[in-house]
Amino acid sequence: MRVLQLLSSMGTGEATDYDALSLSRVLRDMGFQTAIYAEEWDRQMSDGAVLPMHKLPRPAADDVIIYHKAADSCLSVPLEQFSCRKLMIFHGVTPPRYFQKYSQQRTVRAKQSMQELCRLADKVDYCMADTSSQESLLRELNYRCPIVIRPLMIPFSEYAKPLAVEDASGYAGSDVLLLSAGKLLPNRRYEDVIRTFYCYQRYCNPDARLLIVGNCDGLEPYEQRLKRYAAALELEERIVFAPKQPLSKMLACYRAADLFLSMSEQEDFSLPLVEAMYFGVPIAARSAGAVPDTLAGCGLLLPTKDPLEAALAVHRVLQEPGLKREVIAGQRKRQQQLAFSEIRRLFEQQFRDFLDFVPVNGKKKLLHFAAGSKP
Amino acid sequence: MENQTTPKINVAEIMESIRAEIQEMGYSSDMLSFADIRSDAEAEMEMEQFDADMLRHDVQYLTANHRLEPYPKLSGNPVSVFFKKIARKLTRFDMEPCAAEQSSFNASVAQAQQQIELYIQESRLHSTRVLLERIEILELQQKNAHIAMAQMQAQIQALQQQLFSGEEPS
Repeated sequence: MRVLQLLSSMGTGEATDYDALSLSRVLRDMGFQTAIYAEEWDRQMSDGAVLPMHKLPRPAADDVIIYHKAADSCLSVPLEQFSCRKLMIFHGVTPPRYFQKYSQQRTVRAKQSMQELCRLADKVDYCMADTSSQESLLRELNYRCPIVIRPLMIPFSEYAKPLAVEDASGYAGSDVLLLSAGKLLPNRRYEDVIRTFYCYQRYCNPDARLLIVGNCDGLEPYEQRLKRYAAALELEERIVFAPKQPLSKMLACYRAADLFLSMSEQEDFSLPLVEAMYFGVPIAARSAGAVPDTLAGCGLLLPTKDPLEAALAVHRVLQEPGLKREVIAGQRKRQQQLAFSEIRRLFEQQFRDFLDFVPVNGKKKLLHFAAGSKP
Repeated sequence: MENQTTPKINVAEIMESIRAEIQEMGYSSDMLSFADIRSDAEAEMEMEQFDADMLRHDVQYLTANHRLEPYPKLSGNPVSVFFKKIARKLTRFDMEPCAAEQSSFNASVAQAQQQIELYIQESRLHSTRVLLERIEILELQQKNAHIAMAQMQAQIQALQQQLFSGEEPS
């Protein structure tokens, strides 16, 4: 029996990459023969880690296909044509409306991705969702198969590497540094981050800096618009837009940051939030999308998108040592829940359940999941 | 795994005190809106379908910004501001009529856009009304058809009973 992982793209340093590579390791340890196939991938990735989609072998009846459905990903190979067992790992989708103003291509891709998600409702045998909000979305789209929740598997050991001197000195400084990281997507509302920073700088700390790290990924007009907005607010000297950094430099950003700010309106399981937890950077994030699920009660969950209220909340966290300590302690606890070993154990259990639920002959044990699933 | 970490922080209380602080200190979040910064891509985008929100947004933008300000506030060091003022005075004879003409053109465009928006709204209202009336008629017809069906079924049952009991149908 082989376990074949399919992805639309791989090697962009996204959370999905971490998850697929980690699962590959775990599956191999579980004794399965496994491989990752992607439509597009970074050629610099280690040899053999990812194979091109056109090399995907015809799966046998006892094989398992794991499809990582993320953001605006879409497979060129229709999943339904395979007669093997199919497991979808749902990382979330971004509604096309967010791209409409900036890129026709991305809008079309997002629409196709959404259509694919709807089409697969009765084509997959089992789903794993990163958060409960994604599980609810699948239920709304009429997914009748069992859906279990499993957060992303993040190899935190990668973050423990010591920093090179040139990396460490990059953003360090005595001024307060707010950090906002992740792809520059309109649904992440970086304009609200800038607005919050504007209020924070105006009323709380004129010397503060804001670092926005992320690639625009085909949405250059959005990035340009953000930069022009920052300039119009006369903040161009205090806001740094940096492209996605290699891991070592990214670690330096987290170590230099005083607070992680997210004003995202529609968010999947957020890797930057978990990274901020790992580095003990207090988080202030708007309560929207899957952010409450990711934080699970830790961090400072902002119930508002009002920039002034958010700015003063940020100021409170930074000014009140007791509050900051509490925020960081809560985050540490949550990060331990997301530890690699914990998620690994969870995945192993869920994967065994999946194999048990969908035997090779294809007759699903409906009763087996009657108590656990939410039809 | 989705266990909540025990939340010790009372966010509601913090936000309440922040709102009180904003009132007390008279802070304001007035600033340039992101909507005022246009995206370069917007003009190039080919729209696939009518978007009422986008039209509303554009009409609002046009209405609010149709007037061209020929003399925005000058910034920079006093020497450069002085020279800019001289340059302004020298080009005033040309700039002012140009700006006035452009503002007048923009105002016409804004008005035309508003008219289009109103027309669309009225047409939509009209078609909605027509559709509602049609739905009402169809519902009535459906109701009548149901009644007729019920009557016919009753007749069929009566006929079947007569048939089984061996009586001649009347």
